[in-house]
Amino acid sequence: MSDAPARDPVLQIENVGFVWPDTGFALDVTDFGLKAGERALLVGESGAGKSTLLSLICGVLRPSSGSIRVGDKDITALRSSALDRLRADTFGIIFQMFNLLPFASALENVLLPLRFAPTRRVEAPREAAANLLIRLGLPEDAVHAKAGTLSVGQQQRVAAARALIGSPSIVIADEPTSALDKDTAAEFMTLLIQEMTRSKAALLMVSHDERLAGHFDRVIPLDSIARSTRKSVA
Amino acid sequence: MSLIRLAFLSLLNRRGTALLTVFCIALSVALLLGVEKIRNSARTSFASTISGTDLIVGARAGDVQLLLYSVFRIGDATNNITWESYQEIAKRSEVEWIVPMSLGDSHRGYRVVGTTAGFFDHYQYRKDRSLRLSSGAVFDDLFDAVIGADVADALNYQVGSPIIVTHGTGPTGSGHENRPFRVAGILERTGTPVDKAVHVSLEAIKAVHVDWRSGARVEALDISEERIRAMDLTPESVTAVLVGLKSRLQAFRFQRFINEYEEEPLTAILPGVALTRLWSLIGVAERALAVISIMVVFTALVGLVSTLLASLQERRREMAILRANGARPLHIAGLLITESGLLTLLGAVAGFMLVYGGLIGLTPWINERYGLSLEIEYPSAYEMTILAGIVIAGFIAGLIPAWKAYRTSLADGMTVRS
Repeated sequence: MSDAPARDPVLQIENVGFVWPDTGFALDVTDFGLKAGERALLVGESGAGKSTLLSLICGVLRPSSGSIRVGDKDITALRSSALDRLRADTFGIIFQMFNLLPFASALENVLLPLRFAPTRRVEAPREAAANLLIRLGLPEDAVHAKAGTLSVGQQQRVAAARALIGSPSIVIADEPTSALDKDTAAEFMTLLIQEMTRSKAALLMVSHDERLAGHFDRVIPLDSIARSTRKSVA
Repeated sequence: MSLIRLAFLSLLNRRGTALLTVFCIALSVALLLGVEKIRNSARTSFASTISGTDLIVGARAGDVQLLLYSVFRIGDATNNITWESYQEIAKRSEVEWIVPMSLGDSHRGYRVVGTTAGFFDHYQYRKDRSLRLSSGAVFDDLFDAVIGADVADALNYQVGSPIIVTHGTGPTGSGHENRPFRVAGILERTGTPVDKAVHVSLEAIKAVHVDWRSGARVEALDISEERIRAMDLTPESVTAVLVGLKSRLQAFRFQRFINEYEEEPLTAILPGVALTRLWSLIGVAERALAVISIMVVFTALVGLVSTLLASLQERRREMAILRANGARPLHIAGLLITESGLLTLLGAVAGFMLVYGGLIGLTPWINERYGLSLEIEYPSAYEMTILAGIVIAGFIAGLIPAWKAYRTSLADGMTVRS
């Protein structure tokens, strides 16, 4: 693990509580923070609440208590539209799979966040997006191919490029390597970390695979920062 | 990537259902525009059933009734005009030409019109079209007949075919079998009631009735054809008279003169005015047709909405991906509205092309078969308004799936929860 330099916090969670209304699954996060450019790996068992935590951080789910600060804003106090705007400007998100619009080209998928985020601006966006894709290992002839025709590994590279375009301050990755074979996963992680270093964005990744720990500044077991319970549903 | 391109790509991805939806809208738009075209053409054709005639004169009757029996050959006159009155009118200085018509007989369901050769010179339709013969000639002999195109087609008559005229217009009238006519000429199709008429000379009408008394033939009279040909066959009366004036400015004054004619009660009508009045009476069917077409467009738009609604469930992941990349629920709603508008626009354009393509291909046939003068001309402002209205309605219809998508995308966020 590398030493984390002293940097401004980009994310700070305090005493956040959330209950899924339909299942009664409850997650209570005591204290968790992420600094600018920091890379953290969140590990935990399936169903422990990792994806729920990511959704809370991105402002997709609203906590019933506590505060989540992104930069200098407490997102729990933001109106829905402001929250949407902040998410578009601040976060790049990579899912496990089924990440892309299959009918759009790889390049068009990468450019998608620039369409919706007012502050994520890039000079010569098409050229920048193509270069980013190529740096992440996508063959040049696949740049204009329909995303649905790409292999799973290629699709994850496109998803990574899309999360990084326009320099968001936080990249959230939800098990991005779980659908990849070991070699492809290792190569993907190497290239992703290279680009993360270049972009200086903070990275919060959820994974079961603790072998990836070497790529991160720190590894956070979910149960060290959060407690999950199942409450009875009325 | 713009919202329009995104919507277009998404639709392309679902091209099967999208094409079906566009096809439905195109058909409904084509139907609406087609009905509109036919409505206009029918109205124009109807209004130009007779033209170039300044006045139609008949016995005292309502103007629509006079129009119906004299031009459309529907119904019967309540009375005739005496030959003296006809001559009195013909002598007037304002009159440029006058054509008498005698109605009352028929041939296998087609009306027989007794008239003069002037009928073929002066009767005009569709502004300034005159009657033309497709074969044969205008009657020359006493027992010659000139038939309309429908009569010739339906009864398979050619020049020289014999015709037996029936007394009266009902299906069971007695025949003038002893005085057969011969087809001397066949008229080109006009799309007017002329197509369904058998024209003979006024003298011929008199000739076939010389041995008739009180509506029945008196066999005992047994008048030979030679004797008839030698007779004075000037009629005692005619059913109606078409009048052309030297100046149209005199039409109202001349009409008043006829309506106030003291020798017998007569009515004169201006054909254009009476046609407009008649159209307003039968225009209910035309309006019903328009309403049905609008309902078809409405049904197509309902189909569009249900197609978009049905696609929402399978597109939840697409919405979630957009949301994860910064799209707000309003963007998602905007996407659905754009899709709806795009589908409607494509359908409207396709429907428009379908109508005009059909017009180019079918106009000669429709003209020939039904006598409807469909004109291929630039789309009217009204048609463009209809098209714009449909496209706007398409955008508005998109609000329903947009609202549903907005709600779904709010609930789903970036992950799809089943």
